[in-house]
Amino acid sequence: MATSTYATIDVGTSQLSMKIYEVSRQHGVKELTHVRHKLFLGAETYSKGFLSYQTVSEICTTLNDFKRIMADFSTNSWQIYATSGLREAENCLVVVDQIKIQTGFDVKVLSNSEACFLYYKALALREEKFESYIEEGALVVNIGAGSIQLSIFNEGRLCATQNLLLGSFRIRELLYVMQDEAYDFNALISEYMEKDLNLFQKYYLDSVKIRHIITIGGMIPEIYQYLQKTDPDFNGQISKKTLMKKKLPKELSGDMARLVIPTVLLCRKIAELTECSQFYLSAIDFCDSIAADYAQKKLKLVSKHDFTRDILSASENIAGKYKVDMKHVENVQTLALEIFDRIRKLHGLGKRERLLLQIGVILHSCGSYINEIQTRECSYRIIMSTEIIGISHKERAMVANMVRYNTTSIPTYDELYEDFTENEYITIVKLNAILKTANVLDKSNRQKIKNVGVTLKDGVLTITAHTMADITLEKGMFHHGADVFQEVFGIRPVLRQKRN
Amino acid sequence: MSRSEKFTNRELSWLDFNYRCLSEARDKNIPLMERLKFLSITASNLDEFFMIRVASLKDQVNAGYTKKDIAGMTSQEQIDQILHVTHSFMTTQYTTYNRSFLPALKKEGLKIVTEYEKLTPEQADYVDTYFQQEVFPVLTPMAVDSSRPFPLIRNKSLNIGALLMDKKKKDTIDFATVQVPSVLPRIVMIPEDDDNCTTIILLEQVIEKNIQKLFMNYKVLCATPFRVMRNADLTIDEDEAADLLIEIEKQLKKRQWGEAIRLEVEENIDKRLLKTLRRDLEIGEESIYKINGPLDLTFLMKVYGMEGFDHLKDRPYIPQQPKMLDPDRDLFEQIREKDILLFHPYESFNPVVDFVRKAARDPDVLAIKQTLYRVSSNSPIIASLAEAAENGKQVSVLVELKARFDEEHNIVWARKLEKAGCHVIYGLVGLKTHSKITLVVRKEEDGIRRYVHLGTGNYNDSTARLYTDMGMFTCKQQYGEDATAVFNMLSGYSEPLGWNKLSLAPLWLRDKFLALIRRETENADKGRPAKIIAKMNSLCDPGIIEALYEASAAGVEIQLIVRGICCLKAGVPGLSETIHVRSIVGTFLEHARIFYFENNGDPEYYMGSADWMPRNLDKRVEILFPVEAQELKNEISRILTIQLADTKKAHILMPDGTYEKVDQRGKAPLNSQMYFYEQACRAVSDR
Repeated sequence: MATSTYATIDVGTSQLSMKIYEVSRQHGVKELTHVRHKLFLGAETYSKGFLSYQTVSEICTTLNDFKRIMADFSTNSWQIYATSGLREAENCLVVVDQIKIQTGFDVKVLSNSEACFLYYKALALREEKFESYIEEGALVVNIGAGSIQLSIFNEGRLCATQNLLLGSFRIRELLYVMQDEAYDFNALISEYMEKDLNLFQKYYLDSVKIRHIITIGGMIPEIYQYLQKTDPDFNGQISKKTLMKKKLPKELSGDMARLVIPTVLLCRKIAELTECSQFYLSAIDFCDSIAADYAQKKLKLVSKHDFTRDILSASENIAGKYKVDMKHVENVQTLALEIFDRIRKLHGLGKRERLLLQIGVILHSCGSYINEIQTRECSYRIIMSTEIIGISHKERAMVANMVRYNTTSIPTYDELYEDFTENEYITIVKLNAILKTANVLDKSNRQKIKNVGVTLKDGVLTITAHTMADITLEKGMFHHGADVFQEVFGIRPVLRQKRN
Repeated sequence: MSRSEKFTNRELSWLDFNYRCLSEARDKNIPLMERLKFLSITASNLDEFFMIRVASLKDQVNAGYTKKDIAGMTSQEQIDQILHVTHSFMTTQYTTYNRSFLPALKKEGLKIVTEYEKLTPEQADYVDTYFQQEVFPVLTPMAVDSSRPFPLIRNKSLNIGALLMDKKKKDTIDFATVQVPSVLPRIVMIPEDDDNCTTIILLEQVIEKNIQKLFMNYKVLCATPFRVMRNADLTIDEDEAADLLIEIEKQLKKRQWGEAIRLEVEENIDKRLLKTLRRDLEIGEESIYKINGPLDLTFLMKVYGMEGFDHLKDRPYIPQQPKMLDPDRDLFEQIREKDILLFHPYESFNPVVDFVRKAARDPDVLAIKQTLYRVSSNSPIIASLAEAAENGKQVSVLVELKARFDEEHNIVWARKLEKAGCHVIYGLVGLKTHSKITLVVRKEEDGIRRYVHLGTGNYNDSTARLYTDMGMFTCKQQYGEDATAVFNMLSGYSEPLGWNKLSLAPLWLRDKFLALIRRETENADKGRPAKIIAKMNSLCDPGIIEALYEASAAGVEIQLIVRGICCLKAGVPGLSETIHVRSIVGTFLEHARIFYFENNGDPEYYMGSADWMPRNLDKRVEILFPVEAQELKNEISRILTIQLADTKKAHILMPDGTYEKVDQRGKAPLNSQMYFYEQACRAVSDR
């Protein structure tokens, strides 16, 4: 591949930001320029609930200007993402449409978990020590405008992740009205954060030894640059001692300072939660994260880190929280994936859908923690209210629906058309059929069928269960799943037992 | 020593600079026509000084502003002192003109008519015919009476005032005025007399001689030229201006009618006429200058331009091919190989013009971005930028509409560029963009490469033949990134999180300079080598001056080459013992800004567009850039060394605040400007 230029635009909470990169196999991703336009979308969204016409107009003017700058570098591919500042606005869809009409740009609105996941990808691709840190035990703090994502890694994989509504912008908006009344404003901010952070510590940190804290996102690149300005040798490492003592950057004025202060205080508070003595600030911003993801796909870069594993870990973590029977999950997962892989030609789905199926399997019975009788409905609600790192809100809804109708018939498209496109609906239906079939094979939750052979011959899908156990229950219940399966894929599954 | 005693008043320091220019006009070692040019320059300098600086002080007085300047003077005290010095200065100007130039010119065969009454009959006929045919049709005489108010006299215009008596009603005397038309040449060549000298007469004398013909029913009692200088400082409310370009256009019209701050009249003016002018122009006695000679000596520049007197001029200086550039090789290729330094006007400005022209035509070039402050009338750079836009390149040009006295000019070609399809930016609200930077983005085989030109002088091919300036071409990635960021910022976007190489005013430059000076102070304190050499046009920033005093107290050797204003006091025991200041005033206008810091034996060199003045550091967008290539550093070091050794054109600032020429005893004569020119010629012939 020859050298090409590529732009990422972040329609962020406090600014519109564009980076243009040169992408080549030889030199990787090289930043050419970074343009920022301060625009406090978050302030408007969080306070008024929607974005005004003037703001939308400013967004469009700026994006058109960005387009001109792109032309300076002959940029012909780009990605534009928006996060909570736009996502949480009531008129989000209208704004996205206006942007399309006025600039020609298609803005993709990301969920918090998607944004976090992009950050992780960038960390794994660009920060040399990331792998060793997460191997030894690391807490990754992703500081967004609306919320923060705390993720614990150990032995190279994601162990737990938690979203807390302690984003720098949110804190600013909530607490700055009390600034004049507060005797010690910084103490007030700390107090506000304390409850959530203490709970996080109680649930997650007591069992893992955190050796590194990695902070990323939001105002962290600004703080990074500030520290680098005062100390040219600064490489991102800062000791806990220095962090606790360091004066707040006084060069940052007005709104920027208001955002930086909660970020610094948050870092301090988190530092207090662990015994970790080293803090690492990452200079990677959201544009870099988007670019890292693009480069990985474009240049087919292979990361040492298994991101799919992280998504599954995060899902398992949620399942664990709701005391899901993990043996049952593991068994159903093995069976479901075996079926999925064997009938690839029939369903025509890809890797991403396979991942959704796995998540669905992991979370399909989490609702029983709330109510055994209405397990599916509760599972649906739990999934819909939980940020699952690495998947979009739409994908989350697909998983939730796949699970919701695990034991009952899935509604017709007419009933779900408002939430899904036809393709998405079909995907849900297919995954639901596989889940139902696999789930029923462990109806007793005793993992009697450890593995299956799946063959497709003459329009019949034969699932051969290799087990010595009595599977009368599974056979008996298999018919209902088989009906749905036949309805969806046009072939009838048959369950056979092979005793060996 | 009180704080105010540590500084020299900036206006008085400027008047000193104009005196140094006048000393060139009086230097008999300089060819006569060149001296004429210097006298003309002192006159135009003074005009500008009054229109802006004195006008501003008057505004302060009118507004009741009583705060003292850094030298402890109130605005009124400054005005009083300025007027006092200016009267004396103008006396010297006209003494030089009358006693030295007129006889010397006559001796060389050029006669300037001083009294039209002394013309020969043949010359008188010629003048009358010229008046009738050429001048009369473009004159607009205006009389003042009860039905016609006193007309608005345009700023800087030359006029003839007259008192008239109605031939029928002999008891009333009316005032009348006629503007000497600027569309006609000020100097008129007339037939020679018996002396066989080329003879010229000034246009106002032609009109004066024939003024009766303008007022047929009146008797002209007296007629004398006069000239009014007005407050020409623009007051633009940029925050409120919807369209800066339109707002400036409006203000420019107002400039013609600002408050009168100086009235020049001929010495023998009729008292009644002067009284009328004083009253109607509302001007104080102290602001009236009675002049023993022609008003507005800038006409001498036209005399300089007359053919046939080349023997009275310096030989023409032809800018040479830059020694670091091979004219037969591709410019981009040479920049890729190494950074390139240009030293104008000894070295030609053409490579800079070619840089833009080539970029405009190069199919691999994607974008051109440039800041423009002052450009020449038929600028080839403007033409190339327009051509680039027509060729489909992305062209962004920052046009500084607020460049003083070039506003009108800049509006015209800003529109021209817009019409050609360039993206024209008018800069940042409240700040003048004074930086000189060009960025060319080129798509090459191995990816995007950015070529940058950074300079100390304007992108003006005309002044680049007269001003000494430095420029550097580079395509180092970090400079390219910063250059892109500069243009993004100038387009209104936030500054980048960090800069690689460039330091910008008003954000970081002051701190950068202070940090560099303080580093030398710390080094001196620790007994390490410490030295500063700084060359600039003006030095009047109190913060920087105090930092230099501190450095001096620590023992830092400080050599300053300051052409114009210098508010620092040099060589004062206990204050600035180690600070030496020199001003070089010569054939070319010293304009480069170069900064050297010893840095404990690892010298750092910087160049840029900013002087050490509050306006440059706080109210302008300026760029300071480091020069890092050793070859370029060596060259700059050589330039500074030669300038510090100049014995012919350097004036040394003495501890008492006066300037003295270098005592040449025991020193080899060295005119640094001529030395650089000869070196540039030699480099070409040695090639």
